[in-house]
This record gives sequence, structure tokens and C-alpha cells, in this order.
Amino acid sequence: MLLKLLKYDLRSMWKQFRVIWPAALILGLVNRFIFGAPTIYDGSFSLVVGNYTFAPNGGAFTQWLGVITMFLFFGVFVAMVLVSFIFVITRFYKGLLGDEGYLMHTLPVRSWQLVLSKLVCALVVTVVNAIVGVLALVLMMPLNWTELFDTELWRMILRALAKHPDTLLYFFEFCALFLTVFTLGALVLYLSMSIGHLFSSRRVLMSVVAYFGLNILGSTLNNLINRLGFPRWLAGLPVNSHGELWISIGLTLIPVVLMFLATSWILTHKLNLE
Amino acid sequence: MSEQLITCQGLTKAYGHKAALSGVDLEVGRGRIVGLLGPNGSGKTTFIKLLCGLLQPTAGTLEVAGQPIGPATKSLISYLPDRMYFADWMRAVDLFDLFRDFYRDFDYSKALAMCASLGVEPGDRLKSMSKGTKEKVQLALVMARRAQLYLLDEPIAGVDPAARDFILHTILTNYNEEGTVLISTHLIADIEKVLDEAVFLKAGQVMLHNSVDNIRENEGKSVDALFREIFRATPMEGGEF
Repeated sequence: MLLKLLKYDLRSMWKQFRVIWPAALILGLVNRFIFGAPTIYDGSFSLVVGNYTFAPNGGAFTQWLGVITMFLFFGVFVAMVLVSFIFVITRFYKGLLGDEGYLMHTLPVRSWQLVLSKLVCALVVTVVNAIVGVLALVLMMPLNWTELFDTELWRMILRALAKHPDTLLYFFEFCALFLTVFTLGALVLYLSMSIGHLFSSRRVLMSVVAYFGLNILGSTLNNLINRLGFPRWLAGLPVNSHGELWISIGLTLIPVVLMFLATSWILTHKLNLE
Repeated sequence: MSEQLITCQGLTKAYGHKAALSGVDLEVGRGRIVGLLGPNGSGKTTFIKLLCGLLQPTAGTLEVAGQPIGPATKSLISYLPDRMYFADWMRAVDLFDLFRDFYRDFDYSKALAMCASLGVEPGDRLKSMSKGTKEKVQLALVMARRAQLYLLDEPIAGVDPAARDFILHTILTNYNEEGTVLISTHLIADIEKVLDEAVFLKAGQVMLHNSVDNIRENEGKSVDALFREIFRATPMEGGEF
């Protein structure tokens, strides 16, 4: 049943992002051609990304076009983040606690499956956002494709990886930590909306109050754990930095599981779609 | 298989301090068309939502086919709510796909045939449809299932008399005769002729539950006339005007 729910949540996601994701990639490509190869800064409009300085080559028209497309490019990025944030909230609030909830809660599924489906969908949005963001920047970079497919370059990368074999592992561990933290953030929103739903009136306001309340509770617990000497305890453990990362992921998963269970419990035992 | 389809004992639902349903004891059998009748605010919608699991009871027990409300009972119930419940991006066929995925008793070809007879183009986006057309889509969704229990919340409210006949005809020609249809309404005259039983709700309590034939025989009047007598508007009583 979870897969069937995901099918519809992912379709809903695609309807929401089907313009913005391709737009980010296309604008990245457009900027690549307008800005061309990196040039020496001459006082005109330019953008610095890492070691590269981008400046539109050509006359005044190209200069202005460059300014517009670059603003559009970053505008799409900002829009992508904002739309994602709104998507995470509205798909849960409208989908489970609004009129659409009349459909979703009468399907023969468990409440935890409904919550998990929304959560997985939110995670997919985040991952695809990150991929689209990186791809758009890559498309904008004046990469030399011949160099990119040069076997010597890949040999060099493989040699570097052989020298530091845990680089890739670090990368995946940081990705896992990032996703765990994002999951926690999404679940704080879900639980806040579920708590707000427990009230018979001013549900949106009470959701906002619950959100701040949960964040204050989280900070207080965090401070308490730090005061009890958790960082010293962690540093004293006979584990390497990989172990520390996995402990961080594991500890973040505790509130994740608790909030998931609390949200599912409210939707199972306290649902009141009035 | 449980003999009674709906069983509730001492069913109470309160919103804050206000009781919408208060100690309702009711049993409804199979293969019946039952009118859940009462003025606005009498608890009809609350009772239906409790059966669907959209509300949780404050006290008492509620079972459908001998099981407490949950995924198993939801698979037996086909629910027509008093509002639109689909996302803007969907087309009617998307909803049909969804119902086919989740309900084994959903008849896809019947839904398409009903759309054709109701004059609905299933490939159109729901967002672009009129309110009346959206209601027809929801009706097709609900009646294309071979459900054990149909819960129809005010299906004929807010439509003209011709449309009422059309909706009732659609319901009567498509429901599963082995199942039970529970129709909530305060427009008794329009549905009286199709009812087997009537449940009168007043201020969250069952005032009367009997077969329509018994009501006519015992009271010597139609269900509509009895309803008007019981719920006659009196000042400060909150009756139906």
C-alpha cells in the first residue's frame, strides 16, 4: 500500500516541480553560452564561482542579457528552495488535514503509511533539488568536455581515491547525516501541524505555536545533553571520525523516530476532520 | 460474517463541551437503503464521519461488519462526502486509477461508463470542471464500487429537483444490492420512495429507527409528514425552517 501511496504523492510532486527543475537546468545552460569562457575581470558585470570569474562576452546587449539570465538563474534557485518548503508543508496539511484528507483517510491504509509516504516524497524533493542544483552549476561552468572525458583525469581521480579510500565513504556519511537532519526538520513540521490539529479552533496558529514549542524543547534538550558532558563522552569513545558521524546519525534518528510515531499516533487516534 | 453491518453502542462525539452525538445505540442490517434523517446540526455528518474514521468517538463503540473502524472497514465503505476531496492537478481518470489501486471492488469500466452517461469527460482536469461536474465525478467514483456500505452525505443537497432525481437514479441503478446504502439528508420527500428504513436524529440522539412501511402503518402518515411533525420549527428549539 505504501508504494501505491508513493505513486500518487510522487505524481503530485512532479506536477509541482515539472517546470522549475527543467527551468534551472535550461537557465544554467543558457548562462553557459551567454557568459562563455571565463574572462579576466574588466569592471563589467561578472560573477565569481570558486576559481572562475564569469563575465558576459560581447556588447552591451549581451551584457544586459547576461545580467537578466543570471538573475533568473539564481531566482529559480531561490524559488526551488521556497517551493520545496511550501510543498513539504502543504502536501501534509492540505493532503492529510484538509479537504484532501477526506480521500486519503478513507483509503484502507494505516496512518503511519500516509505519513511515511509524505515524508519519503519530501526527501525525494530534497535529493532531486540537490542534484538539479549541482547539475545546473555544472552546466553553467565552462567545462572542457574533452578534458572531462580524458582518461588521465579519471586515472588521477582513482589514484587520489586509492590514496584516501574513505573520501567516498565520508561523502555518503555526510549525505546520510544531511538527509537525517532534513527528515527531522520535516517531522518537526508534521508534528507541529498534527498538534495544531488537536485544537478545535485556530489550528494554524496553534501549529505555529507547537512548531516554536518543539524547537525550544529541542534546544533545551540539546543544551542539557551538552552540559551533561556528551561531547566529552563522544570524544572519549574509541571510534574514528566515521564512527562519530554514525553516532551523530543514530542520535538524530532518535527524535526522528519519536516524532514519526507521535505524528502517526495523533492521526490514528485523534483525527478530527471537522 | 457479522449479521449487522453497523453496530454502535453509547456512541458519543463531543466538540469541546458541545455534544454532536450523545449515547447513540443503533444497529443497521445488510441489503437496506436507510435514510439518516434530521435537521441541520442533528449529528448526521458526524455519524457518517465516525463510520469513515475521519472523526474519533469521545465515548462508546462503533463497528462495521463486526470490526472496529480501521483499514479493514474502510475497504468495505464507499463514502460520498459533502465536499470536494481531490487535488487540483488530478483528472477524473487519475482518481479512477487511485481507486482501482486501493479498492478491489472498484469497477473501472463502470466508472468510465457512468462518466459517459453523466456527460463527464474523464480526461479533463478536475480544476477546470464546474462544481456540478465535480460532484458527478465523485458520485461515479463512489457508485462504481461494489461496496458493503455506501455512506452518502447529503448527496442531493444544493441541487435542483431534476438533478436530485438524476442523482437518486444513478445511486439506485448502480449500488451493490447486497450492501447497505446510508443516505443522510433533510430533503425527505425526494428520497422517501426509495428508503427501506429511516433513522431520525435530533440533537445528537436517535429519536426513531424503523422501517418505512412500519412508520406509515403505525403513524398513518408518510415519513416526510412525520419528520415535519417531529422537527417542526419552534422558537429557541433550533428546528428546521
